[in-house]
Amino acid sequence: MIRFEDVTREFPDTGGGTVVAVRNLSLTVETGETVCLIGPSGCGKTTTMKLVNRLIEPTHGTIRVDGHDVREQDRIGLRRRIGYVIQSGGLFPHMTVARNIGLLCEVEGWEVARTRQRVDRLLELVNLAPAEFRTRRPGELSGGQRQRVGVARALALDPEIVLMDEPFGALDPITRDQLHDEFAALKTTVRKTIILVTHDMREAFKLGDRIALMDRGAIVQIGTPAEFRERPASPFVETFLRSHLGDSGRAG
Amino acid sequence: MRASAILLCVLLLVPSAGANDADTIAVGSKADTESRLLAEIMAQLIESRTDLTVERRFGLGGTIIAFESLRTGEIDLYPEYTGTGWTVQLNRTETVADPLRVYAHVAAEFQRRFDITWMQPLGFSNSYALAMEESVAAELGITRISDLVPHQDELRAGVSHEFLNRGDGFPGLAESYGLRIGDVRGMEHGLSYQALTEKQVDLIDAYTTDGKLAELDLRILEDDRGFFPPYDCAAIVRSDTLAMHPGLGPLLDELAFRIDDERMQGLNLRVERAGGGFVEVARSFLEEERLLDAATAPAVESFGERSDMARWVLQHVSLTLIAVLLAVIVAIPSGILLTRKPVLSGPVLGLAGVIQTIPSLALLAFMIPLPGLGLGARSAVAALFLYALLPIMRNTYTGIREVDPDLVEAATGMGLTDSQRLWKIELPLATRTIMAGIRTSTVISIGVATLAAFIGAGGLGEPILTGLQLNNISLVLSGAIPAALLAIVADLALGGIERRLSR
Repeated sequence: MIRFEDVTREFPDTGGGTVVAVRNLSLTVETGETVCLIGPSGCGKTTTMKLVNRLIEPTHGTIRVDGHDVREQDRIGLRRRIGYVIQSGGLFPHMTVARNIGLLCEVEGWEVARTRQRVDRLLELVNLAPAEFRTRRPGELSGGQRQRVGVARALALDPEIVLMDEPFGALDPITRDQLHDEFAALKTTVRKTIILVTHDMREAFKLGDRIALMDRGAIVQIGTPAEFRERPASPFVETFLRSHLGDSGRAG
Repeated sequence: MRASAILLCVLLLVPSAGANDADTIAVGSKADTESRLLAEIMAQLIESRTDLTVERRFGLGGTIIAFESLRTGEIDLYPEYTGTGWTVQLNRTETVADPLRVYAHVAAEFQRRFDITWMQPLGFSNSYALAMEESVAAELGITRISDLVPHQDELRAGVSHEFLNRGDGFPGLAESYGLRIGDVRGMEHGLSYQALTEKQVDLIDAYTTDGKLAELDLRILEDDRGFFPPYDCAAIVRSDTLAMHPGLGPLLDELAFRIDDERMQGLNLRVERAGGGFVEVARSFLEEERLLDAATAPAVESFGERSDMARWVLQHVSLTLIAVLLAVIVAIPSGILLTRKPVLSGPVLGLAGVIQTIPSLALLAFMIPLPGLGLGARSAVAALFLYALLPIMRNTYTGIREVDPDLVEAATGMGLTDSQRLWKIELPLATRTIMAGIRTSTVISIGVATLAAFIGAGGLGEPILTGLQLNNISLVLSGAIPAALLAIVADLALGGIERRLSR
């Protein structure tokens, strides 16, 4: 479970003043739940996500993971208990697929055989044949394959929580749809607490148990896809939905 | 901290050039043919007649380097000229024609101010002079410089640039004799003899002991007004060395007045004709003079033989290798540190850049007075090391800074520690750029190392330097071609490693 308690994050701006990226935000993500953070660019959704694994620290307020304040925890240990997926996978180009996925096992000091077993299992989980993909380099993979490897890597140490920063953003529509389906299926097998940042409303509707729509650092509306469809909280939400769902949105 | 400690250790391993060993005499010389030959004569004399070990530090790049080396005890002695002592070390500007007065003054002042002793003169004076073709001079009836005045409108003079511009050169000469030659042009000294024999000019400046004067049919014009200061040659020796080895002074004085101008000309010519046979020419001179103890005389070996070549290449490679290795040890950690403290990157890279702009020879000279460096390999390594720093440091810095920020964030976000991120992600991804920096540094170092010969550190600069002095192109090439090959081989090899690493 992840709790944001009245969290504010300010950044200094170029003129010597401050910009508020996240303003008095409170949010609880239940264990096993997927919450999609969505909103126009600059709304604070990515900042909010990075507060969880302490890539960014809050100016005020507290973030708790399973009840414990993250700032009282060792950064490295905290991050290893939280999977992290970024856009287009963020794979290390000088390492094979297997080493990318097994990197955290390696630094945790796992035995080689155990790491290898784990890597193979994760490759299967994301529908990549281990024998074929283990030794490939990221440069030899398609966009969709890279993204699958990125997800597998995030799951290496079997974390309770996974943070995903626009994980499917750089993919073509067909691959994206396919990965959405796979991800939806994967979610039911692995049961993680997931915060997924996206700018794609269809993706949020498809993958999120709940959706938090943000604007200018604050949550404008939070609820299930059905609640969003039936009761948009404000004209902003309505406009956002209309412009981001379009025709295909109704079909989803 | 640790890096500088390692640096210090390696520097201490580089053989010291100093004459600190009590039983070793370090004989130095400037770069020109005559100085080297005289130094070789002195070296063989000491080797043959005493139990002392001689260390040869020949070809020092100019009066200042040679004299500083003597003053700081890097060498014990070298051949010098009274006129040089008068004008360069003692800064006297007035000309005194009497050789004895100049010698006496210089000897007394050196003893008083520098604790350096002038041995007795060798007997010749290597002064400036004016020379003409014998036939032309005879036809015009010219024997003295004064005789030029009536012919000043018809004569064409070709003189070296330095002579043309020095106060104690052509301008002063013209004023002293009231000489106004219409057609005077500056030219390279090595070419002026050729210009004279091809009758493109009628009058040139010369050094009175140039080997060419003996070879060609030339007439040296008498300096009838005593304009040129005397340049009598003698060994100058540290007084403490003479005190420590009482036999050394009398031994060197056995050379006194044995070489007159003509003899020196002949010896210089023999060296030039032999393409650098300093050792043989010195040996045969000592034999002719019966100064050698035949039983203990060392075997003659010629300059430029295979053993020399192997030694030069080995010296060249070790100088470069040690310098680049030290630079790698210092520059890569510094480059990494700069990525962690980017505020420092401007000043630090700027400083390394400034070092890069110091002319190589000047940088070499700056190293000599530094404690622990001195004349020879250590100073050369230190200078090469300073040159090698910037490319490696800059490439390490940019290589790491240019790693895709998304990858750095991925590494941080997944929970790698700073050092894991550095070793597993940033350094491997920057390897190609860092290797390119090492490659640049290595090629630069191989080039600059050819100048190490100027401060007595040996290497392939030695035949280049000697060849330039002897006007011997094949000797120059015997140093230049291997140096170029070394650079090409190093470039290709490191390029190969670079490509392998980036695959």
